[in-house]
Amino acid sequence: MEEFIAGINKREEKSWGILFDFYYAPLCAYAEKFLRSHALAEDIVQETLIKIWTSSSLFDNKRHLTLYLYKAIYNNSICYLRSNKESTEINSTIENWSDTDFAATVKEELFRRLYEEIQKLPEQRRRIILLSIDGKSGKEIAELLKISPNTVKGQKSKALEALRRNTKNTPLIFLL
Amino acid sequence: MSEETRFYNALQSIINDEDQTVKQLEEVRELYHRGDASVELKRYHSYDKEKAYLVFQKRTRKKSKNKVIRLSWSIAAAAAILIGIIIPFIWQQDRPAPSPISQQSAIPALSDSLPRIKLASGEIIEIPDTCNSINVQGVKATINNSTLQLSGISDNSSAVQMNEIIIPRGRQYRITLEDGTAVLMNSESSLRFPNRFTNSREIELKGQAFFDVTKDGRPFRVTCPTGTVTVLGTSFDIRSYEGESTLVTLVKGKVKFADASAEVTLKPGEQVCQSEEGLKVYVVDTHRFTAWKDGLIYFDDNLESVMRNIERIYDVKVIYSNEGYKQIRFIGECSRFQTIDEFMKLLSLTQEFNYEINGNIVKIE
Repeated sequence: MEEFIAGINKREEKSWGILFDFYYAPLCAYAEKFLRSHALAEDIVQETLIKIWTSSSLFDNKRHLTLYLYKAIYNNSICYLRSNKESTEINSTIENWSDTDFAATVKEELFRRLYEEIQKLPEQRRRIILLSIDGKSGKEIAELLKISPNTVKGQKSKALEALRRNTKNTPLIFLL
Repeated sequence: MSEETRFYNALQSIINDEDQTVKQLEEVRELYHRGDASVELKRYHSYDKEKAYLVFQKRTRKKSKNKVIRLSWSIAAAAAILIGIIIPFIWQQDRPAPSPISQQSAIPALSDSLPRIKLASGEIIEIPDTCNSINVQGVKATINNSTLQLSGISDNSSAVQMNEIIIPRGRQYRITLEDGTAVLMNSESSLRFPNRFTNSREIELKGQAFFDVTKDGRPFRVTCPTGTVTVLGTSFDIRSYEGESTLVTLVKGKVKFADASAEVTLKPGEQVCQSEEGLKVYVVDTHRFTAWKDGLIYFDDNLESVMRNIERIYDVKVIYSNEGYKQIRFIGECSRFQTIDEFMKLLSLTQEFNYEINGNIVKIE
């Protein structure tokens, strides 16, 4: 993980690719809560990430980076709503979260962690989990992936076990 | 309490399902217990992160302050070509005849890292997969199907300058030198070559490459960190990775290998192994040492050595939960174009170990 942060600080493509994998969609979903527009949320996230890349911001660790990203997206979204245009710089201190927005941020981060861990699962287990999120039954998944229902069952429970372990028993897992 | 502390305290108290009094978090707690995880995650999948990343790359590359010259490339074809040929196991009886370095098919990329050229001036150029040609000081080249075709410099009076091509882990790359010599570079390898050949042809290799040398009367010399191979026109393989014995395997023709203390001449089918005990010549099955150039992974070694090779091929890192696994011996051959997961599945069929792949970490347990 230190390697990831070092790569982010050095503006290396590999680390920024990982950042897009794990953060892009959650940050969009987060921005959309304030902006109430799918396309606008994507624009704000893209612009903010580009500004961070071109800035000289450095991060101490993943916690620091994570909070900074939420803060920057929050500020830029609020600025946009106020002035109807993008702010010209990232400033991670001007806006303080209101209590409800703070709670929304905590919630987004919990789901983001689950999303990140799902992406780290081996290919087949990840596919099974994603299909089951889509509401497919074990039998339907088995047919779609051309594997036996028992394999689906086994792989799904292994995947859930890994998710549980890696998200330290967050209650979220039991909702899948 | 700083914002960061507040944030992570709140997160932790929810994760631990602790009783906590922070009023504004009650809504969040309620959401968990209502069961919206699937809905939230589905929402994430409505954003196209791959497309967003391509846009991001395009825009940040243009504005990059690094001293890297970006080459002309077309976004339309930016997706890497991955050919999913799966040949589970090819046993000895089906072995194809040794083939020349093919110029036909593209070599699939198994990692996102790009090959680079380091110019005599110290400048580094990346070679995008979609790039067509390079024309910068001292290097004129066209690129087609993972092949870099270098052309000679017509001006014989210009100074000879050494350039270097660097192939990262997870990639293989073909190079045609100006004299027509074909070189297939393996992962994590680099080759230093001049902008034009003079009375002799001299290049420097680190890592592994297979050579089909064009016979033109001038000697052809490859220097690797521990010795030099001199040839006249021949096909051979050099493997000279740091921390491993240097191996030169001759398929056709005649080569001479010399290090600081000794010199040997090889006949076809022979291999010289350079170790602490000096140079030793063996008669070998050359296929075993050159299978990689035909897109195959051949292994007949303990797990530690097999996996060291796999780390280069797939750009992964292997960790062992128990040192004992390193000594298990495996023999086999399969296609390089499978995924790492498929490769590990094959090995684990022996039931000697289980594995888990997490990003680019492969854990053997």
